[in-house]
Amino acid sequence: MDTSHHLLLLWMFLHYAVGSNSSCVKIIPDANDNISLEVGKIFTATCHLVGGSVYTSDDIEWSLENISIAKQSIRKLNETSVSVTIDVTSDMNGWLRCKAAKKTLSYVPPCIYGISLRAGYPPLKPDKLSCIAVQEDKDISPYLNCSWDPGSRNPLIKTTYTVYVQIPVSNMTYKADFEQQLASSHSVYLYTFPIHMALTVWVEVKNALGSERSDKLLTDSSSFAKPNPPLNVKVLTEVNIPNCLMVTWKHPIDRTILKLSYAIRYRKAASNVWIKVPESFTKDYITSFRLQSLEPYTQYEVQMRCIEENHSSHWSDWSTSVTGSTAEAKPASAPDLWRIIQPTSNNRNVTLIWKPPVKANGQILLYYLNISQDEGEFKRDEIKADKLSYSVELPTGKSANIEITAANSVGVSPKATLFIPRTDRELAGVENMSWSVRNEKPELEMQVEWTAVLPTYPGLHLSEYLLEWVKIPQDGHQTELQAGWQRVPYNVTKTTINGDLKKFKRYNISVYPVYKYHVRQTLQTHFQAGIPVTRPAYIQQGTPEYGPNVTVTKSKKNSAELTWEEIPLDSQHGFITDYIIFYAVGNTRQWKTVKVEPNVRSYVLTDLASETDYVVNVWVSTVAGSIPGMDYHFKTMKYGDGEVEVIVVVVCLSFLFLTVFIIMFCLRKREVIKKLLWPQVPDPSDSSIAHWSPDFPIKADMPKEDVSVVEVDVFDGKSLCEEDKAVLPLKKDKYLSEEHSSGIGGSSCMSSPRHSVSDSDEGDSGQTTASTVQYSSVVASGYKGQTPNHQPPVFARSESTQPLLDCEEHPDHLNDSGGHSRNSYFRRGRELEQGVLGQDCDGGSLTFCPVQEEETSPVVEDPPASALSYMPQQSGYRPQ
Amino acid sequence: MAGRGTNGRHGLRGQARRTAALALLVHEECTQLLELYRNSESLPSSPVDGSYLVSIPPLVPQLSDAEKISLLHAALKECLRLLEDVITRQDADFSDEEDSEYRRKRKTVRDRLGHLLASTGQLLVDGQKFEAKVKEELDGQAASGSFGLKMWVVRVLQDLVHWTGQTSDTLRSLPAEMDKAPKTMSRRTRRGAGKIRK
Repeated sequence: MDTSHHLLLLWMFLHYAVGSNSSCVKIIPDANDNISLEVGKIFTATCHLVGGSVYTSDDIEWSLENISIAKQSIRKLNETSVSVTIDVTSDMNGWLRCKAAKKTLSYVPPCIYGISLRAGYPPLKPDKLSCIAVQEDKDISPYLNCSWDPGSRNPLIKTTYTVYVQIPVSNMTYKADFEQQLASSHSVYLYTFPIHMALTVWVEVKNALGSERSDKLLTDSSSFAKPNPPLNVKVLTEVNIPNCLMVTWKHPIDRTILKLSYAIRYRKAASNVWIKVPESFTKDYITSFRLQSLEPYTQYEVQMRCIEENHSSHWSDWSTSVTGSTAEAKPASAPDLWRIIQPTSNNRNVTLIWKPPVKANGQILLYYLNISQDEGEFKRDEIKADKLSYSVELPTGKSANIEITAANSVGVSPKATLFIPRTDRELAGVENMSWSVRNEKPELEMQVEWTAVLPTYPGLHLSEYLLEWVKIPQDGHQTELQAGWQRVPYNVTKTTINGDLKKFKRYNISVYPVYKYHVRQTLQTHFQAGIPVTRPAYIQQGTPEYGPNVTVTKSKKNSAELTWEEIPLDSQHGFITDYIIFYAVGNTRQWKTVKVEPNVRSYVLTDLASETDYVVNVWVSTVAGSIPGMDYHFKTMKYGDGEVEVIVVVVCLSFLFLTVFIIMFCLRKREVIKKLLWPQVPDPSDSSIAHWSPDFPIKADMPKEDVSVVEVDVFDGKSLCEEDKAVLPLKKDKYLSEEHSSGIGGSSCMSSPRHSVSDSDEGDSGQTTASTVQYSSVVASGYKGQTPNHQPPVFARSESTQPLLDCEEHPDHLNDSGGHSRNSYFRRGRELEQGVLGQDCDGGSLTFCPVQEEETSPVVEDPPASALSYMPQQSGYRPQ
Repeated sequence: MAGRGTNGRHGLRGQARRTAALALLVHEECTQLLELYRNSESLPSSPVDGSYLVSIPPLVPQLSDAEKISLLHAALKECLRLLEDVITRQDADFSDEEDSEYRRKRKTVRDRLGHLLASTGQLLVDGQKFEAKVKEELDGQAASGSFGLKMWVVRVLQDLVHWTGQTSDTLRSLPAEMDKAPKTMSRRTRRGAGKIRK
């Protein structure tokens, strides 16, 4: 439904746009198909108004490809005809329309008619026609493929090529045509290839603008045939004829179709240059041929092709390469013998090295080595073919003549000789040897140049030069000596090393002159090398593999000494040009650089800041580039050399002086210090309380109420009265005091009854007792429910700052003691104490007993057990 | 070489040489065709008894080469007619064997026999036209059934081998003699060629 609808719309559009047979205008010329126009020509068309049309020629317009044609190209022929003339261009492809329409508004529909134009060229004559029919199975293919040169101009319009093949004798013609604007080949099917027949072949090309025909080829059909390459080509080794190879093959096609002649070419397997056997040797219809004058024990590649015997056909392709080897012959040249001498303490370590003969003519199986030294010493050895070196010790004072031959399965080679003289008989070497690298793409080449040397002795002839290269250092894991050499004619002083020098590896390049002279005594000819000239060299230098690891061996306040090791030679990859030291403070990365010579291994950085973190690394450079080593962090010292010592000495001396000064001061001011440390305790005897008697005499009242100030101190027997000593064993007993006790200060008087003791129960160690704990205690004798019936107790307090020990002193006990000193002490000055002491201990009228010595330990005189009125102090001391 | 022009070997000598080579080729191919047929039909390799189907006057030395060629041309013409008859009958009876080697070779032989016929026709001398006789047509063997047909085919192929061989031998002996009178033969040949084109 949709399709039919679309077709209807398309038809309506075309009918409107192009016009129809019923249109009121017509174009002459007209055609059902495209009208082909030749590019460059002029084309004229005329538009006619059909009779009865309401239009006139003034209403006619022309357009090409929807573009109106200029009026200059339009010519009014009459009232009903208008012509247009246009230049045909190569891009002119489209509709040429004639339209008749009123220029004012009108209900009359316009009339349109058009013709389709195609611009193009007439075909060119095909040139260089050639045809080929390849072999197919055992016959020639019936398809004849022809090709030609159609010319470079594209016809632009539909063009037909037709290839004709005619057999003149039968007047039979085969043809094949096809449409293509610019064709250059096509094939014709001939059913059966008409071999041994004359054929005529040509090509016709035709389009709307013309036609052309190529030249006819009238020739034997075999000239179109192309046979296959020879079949089963084989190369056979000729036993006992080491310089020949037999080549055999089969005919690719029967001779009744094509009688062939053959061509052979061969080359060494390693070569890319073909050697062609003259065709006159192989022109016959043969199936074998013997290649001669070949090299023994050499692999050759052989190829063949064929052609009709009169060369009327195409050549076949070359056959695939077939290889074969010639038989062995005895070696035709000597091994290339050389030596490397390494001097030892009093000897020479001679390493003989050699290359197999260039013309080995077979597989070398053995080398025969003869070494003859002075005094008739002779050594002969057979060396397997896979070993190409031999070491021997040669004293410096001896010479040696070495001979070597190589043997294969057929025979032995000529011998190579080399003479090694005594150390003091060496011959002169070359001078001014130098090397350079040339960039001969794709590889680099090392060129060595030296000055010529002239023999200095008559009879001494310069035979040749020898160029030697030895890799340094030798790789430890490789057993084979990494060295090479090449010989250079005596008249050459400049050559290129042909060895495979590895990049980034150092080689020692040496040039030796090799002399030749005849020895009359032995009738031998000696070949002896002169003194070498050696230079280190790189074929190509590179950036070192890694940088040196720097360490700081000495770090000072403002300087640091850096040291680094030279990187191994194999890792240097070139000649080191310099080292660059980079150093910076901490993480600032503000690098400072110092460049040093390549032979420097340590450097002292100066002008560093003290006690600062630095980072340093060393770059190593070659001409190819630089590479850094690992960063090394270090810190400069705070003090310079000797500064610490000076400070220590100054401090020590200062301390010493200070100490001496203090001691002197203490000695001179000891009384003052003593007073400061041990302030004078007020003498109780001078206290007002001692003399105070308010309303009654002291003597009468004292037994009732008594104020006792007790000092408990470390026991010191010397400070005790004699009667006290009797109770010494009891000094560690617990002192129970149920009286009011107090520490130092007034608070003691208001404290509740409690234990107050100088020692603890658990351990009355000497240390505890040694510490001076002083209490003051004001004891009211009316305690424990003994309500005094006389005056209230009087509390007295010592004005001394000396700590006091709570103590209980019963008035009765005091009285009972009969004037004995009590366990109440005041610490005070010795002078003062002694003044009082006599009275107290003697009279017993006083209640105070001075302490004997100044540094006494607090000693609690235990009263007699019967008179004990102390309670053990459980909770220790009150803090002072 | 390919693409070479018309110069060279397009004279009578060249034509005779090409015809001789073609005759030899057709002879070889007819031999192969006979062998293939025998193998395909499991027939004995020994020749079938009997004289040749196609007969011409004997090629006695007294005959000129042109006469011999005319006689052989007539014989080949009958051989081709017989071969086409064989092909027609075989295709009618054994149409299932489309692409056997025998059929490919048979087609090749037919085409090349036509080429040989046209090529020998170029060597004919004006006015000398002979007719060959065919002794036994297939109709005479039809009663023998398919075996008779096969034997007849063998005899046709034997005739092909024989007469192409005769032609090859005769033509190979021609060039040396034809070199002696190239003009005459060339003129005659050109006329003959024009006749054929017509």
